[in-house]
Amino acid sequence: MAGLLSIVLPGLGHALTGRVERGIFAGVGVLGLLLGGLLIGGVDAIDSREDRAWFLGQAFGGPIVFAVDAYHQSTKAYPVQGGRAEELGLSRRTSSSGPDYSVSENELDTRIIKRRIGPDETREVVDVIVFDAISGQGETRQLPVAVPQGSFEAGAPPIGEGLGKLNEIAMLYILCAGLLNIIVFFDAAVPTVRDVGSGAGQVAEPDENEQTEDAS
Amino acid sequence: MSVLAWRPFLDPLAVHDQWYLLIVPLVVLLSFGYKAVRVPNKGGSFSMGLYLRQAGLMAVQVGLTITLLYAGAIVIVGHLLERIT
Repeated sequence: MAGLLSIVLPGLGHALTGRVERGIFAGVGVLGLLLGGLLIGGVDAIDSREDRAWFLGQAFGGPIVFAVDAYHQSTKAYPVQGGRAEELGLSRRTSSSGPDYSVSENELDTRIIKRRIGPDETREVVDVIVFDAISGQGETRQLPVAVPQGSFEAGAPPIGEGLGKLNEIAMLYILCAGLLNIIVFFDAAVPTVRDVGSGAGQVAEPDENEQTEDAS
Repeated sequence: MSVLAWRPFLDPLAVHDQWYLLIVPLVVLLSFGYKAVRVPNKGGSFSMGLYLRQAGLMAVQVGLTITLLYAGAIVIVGHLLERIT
């Protein structure tokens, strides 16, 4: 139970099991690294799609990391191989069955563009019938297009993209927060002997040097 | 450093020339967070003095190690490899 609380909020497991000081300092350490990383790199420091390897470690930071990632994914600009349907020359079909759009291959070749979707757009893959200019035969293809909508407030600039060493350091901050939280989690779930508090009949715990001497 | 239109926690900071200074808070927070759960009790209870001493020592050790690795990398990449090639 204490371990789970540590995942929800770093240090909470320690605090609720009577080790308040440890909980506070551990929480300050983990949350400090987490917020520090976000302050340095912005929300782009957490990206489960483009920086997946980093995210695997960052995820141990808890729900905050997932919340930031969800916000980032809903507002970021993804590269798409196409613009809006009208930019690609796609014509909406009136037929209720089959693909929604149609286009000639020549038209598509001249209009295909690569750009990032904007903050007021989302990426969507649509079925398109592409007609061959000579034979007139059509084949169904899937094309990523930009659809105007999105959760980002209208008129606000897109979120900046982290670059270079700063982005790496910001991701490192949050990775360290996640890895540190693993240690906090295990210490909350399975307290070590050295964490036993004082009381009647309990012996004061030795420090690390004494333990080393005992072991040798 | 330009902070024009910078939105905290949304946009990246523009401190590209001072990136190495960001190692210091990283090391300090990491050390103090780690030692919070690893420092032994003293006299049966949490000892603030022992905690601060051990956390500070760890921060200095990690900081010095990173600095030495950085210096070593400069020597190897910037000087030794130049002589070899």
